[in-house]
Amino acid sequence: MRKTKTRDGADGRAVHDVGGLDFGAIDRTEHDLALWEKRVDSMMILLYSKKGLWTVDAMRRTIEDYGQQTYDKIAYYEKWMRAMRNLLVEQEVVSRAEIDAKMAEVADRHRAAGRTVPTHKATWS
Amino acid sequence: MSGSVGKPMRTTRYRPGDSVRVDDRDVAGHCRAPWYLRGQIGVISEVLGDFRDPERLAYHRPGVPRQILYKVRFKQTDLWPDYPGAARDRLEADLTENWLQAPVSAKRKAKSP
Amino acid sequence: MGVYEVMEEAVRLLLIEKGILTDAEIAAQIDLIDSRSPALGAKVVARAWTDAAFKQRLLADCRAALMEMQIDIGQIAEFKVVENTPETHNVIVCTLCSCYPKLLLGIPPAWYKNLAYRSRTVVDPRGVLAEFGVKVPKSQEVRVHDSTADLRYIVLPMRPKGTEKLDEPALAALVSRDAMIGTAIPTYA
Repeated sequence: MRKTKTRDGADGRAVHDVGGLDFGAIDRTEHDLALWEKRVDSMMILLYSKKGLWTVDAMRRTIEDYGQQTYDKIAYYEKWMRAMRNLLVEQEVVSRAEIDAKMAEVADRHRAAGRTVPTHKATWS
Repeated sequence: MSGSVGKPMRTTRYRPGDSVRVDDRDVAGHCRAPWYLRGQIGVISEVLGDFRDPERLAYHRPGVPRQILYKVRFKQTDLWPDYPGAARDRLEADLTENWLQAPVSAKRKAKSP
Repeated sequence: MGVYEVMEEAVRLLLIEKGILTDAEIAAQIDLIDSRSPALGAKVVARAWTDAAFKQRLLADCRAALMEMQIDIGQIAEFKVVENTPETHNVIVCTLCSCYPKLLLGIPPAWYKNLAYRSRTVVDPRGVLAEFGVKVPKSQEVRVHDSTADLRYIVLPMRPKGTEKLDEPALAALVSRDAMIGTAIPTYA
């Protein structure tokens, strides 16, 4: 049986499990990472390898739990950042309220410095 | 393996050359056996080591019992009947022992004299 | 700036306030990853091309062989080198996420992490390779490695013909990142 069904959750194919599907031509544009993306990469690895707050497997599981819309829409290090935030809350290292408050503070500071910062909050679900 | 990620080998259920079928059970939660391989038959090409179980590590558990990890080789033409490449093409994936079973036909063969 | 960039700054500040991470640790980790690159992987390939005993050690125990070159791959995963031969062309993919030998080759290219490469490489590897300009003859097996577990794969490409007189640095210059993923073949004019 050729296993190429679309990933609508039916038959156990999860959102990240894409082998054999067809997402079209490969975009081979090269991207240098922004500093914030390098920081996400570094913090994530430190938190699971050096600090032992979770494993790489838990990070993958968190990303796999995103809805398809979020999984397909957000970029690679956005997925990592979202996973870091969710796992820090899951492991009770920081609370949602602390993160919401600190994000508001950071956004205000950047606005005051004349930068454009989105007004919408990041979703949790 | 010289690192501490994979531990030295203990007794393994399968050996290189054995036919195995990837289990096709319902998946609840984190799973490292890809959907396109579940239910497919391949051959063990290598025993890779003894690793903590990712399906348990993913939920902050210690990852025991540890799982023997195998490299399993599949014929591309078995995986995809309209495979556009060559008949000799193969695909290899790394699968834990708890996802592998002896194929039904191999079991029967083992029972006959 | 985007909402995730704001989130990164907020979470970083909270982790530093709580004493979980320091700026220095984060900077050191960034430096570590910046020290790993395709050029480093190319040195390993060039060594394997010129030293048959090293090549055997590299294929048998990648971690130990890389340690000989002062390359520590850490404790997150094991590495494995697969060798291209006239009979077999290897190509690496991770369909479930984007596993990659980062502590040798650095950050993977964006295309390696995107859905198109991850979905199609297992079902139509020759088509994908053709998109990269690599034509594999039907007499040669294409072997796809889906890195589904604790191993990270690196392709040892074939040494191009006519390079007998080149030294290691000159050979390393022929080896691209994509050649070590399997989506390119080193050439020598």
